[in-house]
Amino acid sequence: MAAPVLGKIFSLSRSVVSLSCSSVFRRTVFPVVCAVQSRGFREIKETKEGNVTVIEGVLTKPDGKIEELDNRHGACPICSHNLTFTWKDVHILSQFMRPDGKVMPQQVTGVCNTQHRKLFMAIEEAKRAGLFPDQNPTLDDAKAVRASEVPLNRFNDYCPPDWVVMKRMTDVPHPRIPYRKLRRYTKINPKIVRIAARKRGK
Amino acid sequence: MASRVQQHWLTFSRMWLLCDARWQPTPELAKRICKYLEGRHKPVYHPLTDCGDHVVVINTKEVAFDKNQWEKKLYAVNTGYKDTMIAMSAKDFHRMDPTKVIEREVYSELPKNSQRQNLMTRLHLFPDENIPDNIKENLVDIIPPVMEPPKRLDEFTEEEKASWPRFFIPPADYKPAD
Repeated sequence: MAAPVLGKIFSLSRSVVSLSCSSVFRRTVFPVVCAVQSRGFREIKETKEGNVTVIEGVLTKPDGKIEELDNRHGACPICSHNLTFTWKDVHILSQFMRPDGKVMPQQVTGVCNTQHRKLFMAIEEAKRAGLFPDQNPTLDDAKAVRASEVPLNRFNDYCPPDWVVMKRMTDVPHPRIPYRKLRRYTKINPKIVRIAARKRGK
Repeated sequence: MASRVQQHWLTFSRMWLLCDARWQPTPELAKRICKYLEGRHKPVYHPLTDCGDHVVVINTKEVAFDKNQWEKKLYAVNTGYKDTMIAMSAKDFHRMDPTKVIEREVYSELPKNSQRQNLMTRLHLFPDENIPDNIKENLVDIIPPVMEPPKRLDEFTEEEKASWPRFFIPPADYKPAD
């Protein structure tokens, strides 16, 4: 992302070393399959011809290449293509996501247990980082709406490269550090804390 | 080279380097900046020769921290009053002054000797991309980033989205409700 900055900052007279941006897809393996439209979402269309109204479900093109996925053995679509993904790979995560911002159930996707867990954690981390701004929970799910309204990601968050799934799931959410523990290391003037809080606009 | 003296001056000259802190993890970024401030990226390095470079950091307000660290990490702040010191979370500290987080991190990563204050004067921090013209003229090279910033779904064009291969197509009966 320093490339557009360079154009503004450096003058033409200076020679500049340009950053080499590695591609997003360096880890994925592309399957080569012929394109046949057989499955997809259907839209309801009503047509009137005199007395007769026809209501039919018409196949719509999804936002991508339509390929006939040959999965005779019911294999996990991620393991069979040797995919490794992280929270940054939005092009993979968006395929397994609902417009709510949740993962599609395992029975629908046909994904194995470990990969489903990894998808779940990766989607959560990507949502925390703000990579899916349009996919918000619907008003039916009151708990999720309340959780999303809390301004969590005030600044950028990132996740370290080798994260372990089970470790993250047992992480205790950080408690507010109680006053009696702070006093061990610091001496706080409560007047100053109150004034600072008022300035922040609480 | 016309003479050896000119080559000597060129090897020991002080360079001005640019660093973009957007979406970079702070502890790893601080270590990298320390390396260039001390001069450890040069084969002619020696601690007694003052061979470090200037580092200009931009977009410090968009620096990144690990999951909980914006709330958990505490910085000691001097209030100026007697017997009082405040422990501020990184969130409030960053709001107070968006350049100070990186300043503190680099200060703690530098070797704890008398060189440290001298090297901190060669660190130039800016929250935005606005840099004064004096410094713009001096910039020579870029420090390679630690992490590439991720792209949101909105930032991809529709052509790019169409070029992604599909590993899973939802069945026609699937309803996302419930």
